[in-house]
Amino acid sequence: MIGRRKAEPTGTDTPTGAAGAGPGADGLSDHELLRRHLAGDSEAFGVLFTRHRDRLWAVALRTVCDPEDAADALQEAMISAFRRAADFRGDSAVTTWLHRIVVNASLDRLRRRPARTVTWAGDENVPESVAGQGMPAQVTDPAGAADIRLDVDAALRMLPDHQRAALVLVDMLGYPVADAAEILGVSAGTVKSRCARGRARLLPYLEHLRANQPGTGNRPGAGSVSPQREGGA
Amino acid sequence: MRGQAAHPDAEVLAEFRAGLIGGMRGRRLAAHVAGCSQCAATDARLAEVSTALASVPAPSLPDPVAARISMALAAEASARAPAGSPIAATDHAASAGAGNSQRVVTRRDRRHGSPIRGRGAPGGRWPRPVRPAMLVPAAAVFLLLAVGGGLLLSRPGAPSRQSAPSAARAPAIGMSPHGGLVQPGPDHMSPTTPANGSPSIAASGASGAANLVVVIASGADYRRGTLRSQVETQLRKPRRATSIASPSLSACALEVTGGTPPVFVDAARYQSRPVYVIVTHLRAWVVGTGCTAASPDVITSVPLRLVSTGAGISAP
Repeated sequence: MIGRRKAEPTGTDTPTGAAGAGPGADGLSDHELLRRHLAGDSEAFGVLFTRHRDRLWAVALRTVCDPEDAADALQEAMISAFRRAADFRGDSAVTTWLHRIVVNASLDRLRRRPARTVTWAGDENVPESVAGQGMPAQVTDPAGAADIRLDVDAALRMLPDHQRAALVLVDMLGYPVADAAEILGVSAGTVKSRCARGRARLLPYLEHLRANQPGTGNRPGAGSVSPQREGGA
Repeated sequence: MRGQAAHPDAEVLAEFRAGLIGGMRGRRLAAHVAGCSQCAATDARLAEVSTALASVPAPSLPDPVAARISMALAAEASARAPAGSPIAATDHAASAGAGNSQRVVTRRDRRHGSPIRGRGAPGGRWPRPVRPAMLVPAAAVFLLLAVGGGLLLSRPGAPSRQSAPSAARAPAIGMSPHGGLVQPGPDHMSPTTPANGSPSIAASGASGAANLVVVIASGADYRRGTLRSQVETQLRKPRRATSIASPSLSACALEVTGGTPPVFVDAARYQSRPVYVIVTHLRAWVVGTGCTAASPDVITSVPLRLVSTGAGISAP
């Protein structure tokens, strides 16, 4: 597991501050909400969605790199989860199950989308819009943070879908490799491999962003990711 | 071995960093990186990639998208619940809605004229493929109601309850800000014509028959000092029905208004906090997003001056 992470492990099943649900529902665990949904409670699933919607949205948006597609993918995923809740076997966290459905819906939407024309063929072909020359080493202002986001978003589009999905979960959202593996339905080794290859491919696109900006974004800034720490996840 | 003769390439170094290369090869790589400034620099840059990715703030789900998905889920819940029964039998979601026509269509699917074919849950297919032809009469009914008479709830003095079943049932739809359609099944929502001749829409959902409460998403951030003028501005503006309120929100709205059907409920913000603003012609209430009939969670309310609502609520 990567230590410097902000994301809550998907293995937990505790309420995380939902808004917009019925009275008392916020205090229920995800498993209990799903059980109530299966028993016919018309609002339980809505509470689940509200509770996790931002993280599910982040997964969908970063995976498909298009707000409209992400909205469609998330909607499809939530309806699918609503209808197929009985398929949840309870051997993982509800959030892991939801994330997996969202990732599958996102990748499915990517497969149905026409192939992208932008490809990466090496340093000399990095588009200027992505390379973002002249980025200051120390980014502390909001505009600079927005620039980083745009650069990262653009760079992520260059990755194969499965590498991007793995990196989104592990590096961007901070999920442990084991959780990401369960969400993606592959082995932990495959997740590590996809992440490693993705990072290597992103290198020419992001090397202008120096990593010493203090503590912005999803997770606190930190030093390197040691092989031992990631390998142990 | 890729690049091992001279310098390992970035992918090999990334795999090494990920703990994927061990044994003798890993030891050789570690020794090489320790003694090679070029590879050490590449190794450091790889670490910076992860840090750069982690530095990007996670986005929040936009309110219009949240409203659209909530609407879709409410439609699903309405479809599976037997009329008049708050809790359905435990023959649950796997078979929910089987045999009725309720479906949510995304903007892109509608544009392409194709049914949703999302895989969704691993190994699954949509149990109920949409039939686009079904949307045409539904849209016609909705537009007829919206243009011809407006939604009942936009009219003052409309009856607050409409439970009589109609002999001639027809599906009605709601529309999302992105153009997604909600097409409730005929057993759960039906246009009716009461004795006074006013066209209306009655919905029989999980909590029994209830008026439809229209939800819009104006995007407004209402402020304490300008709440009244902001609401009155919304009343004057043409509005697009974003969704139909869930049974609990409908019950909350009617509880707050004392049974007066709201002109609309705005899923918006108040003092930057997500809220519902329940608007009648005479007063507006700001309630928390957890509002229910039993616990309305009224934050504030403000009287309104009568303003023209001629614009009504229309389909997008």
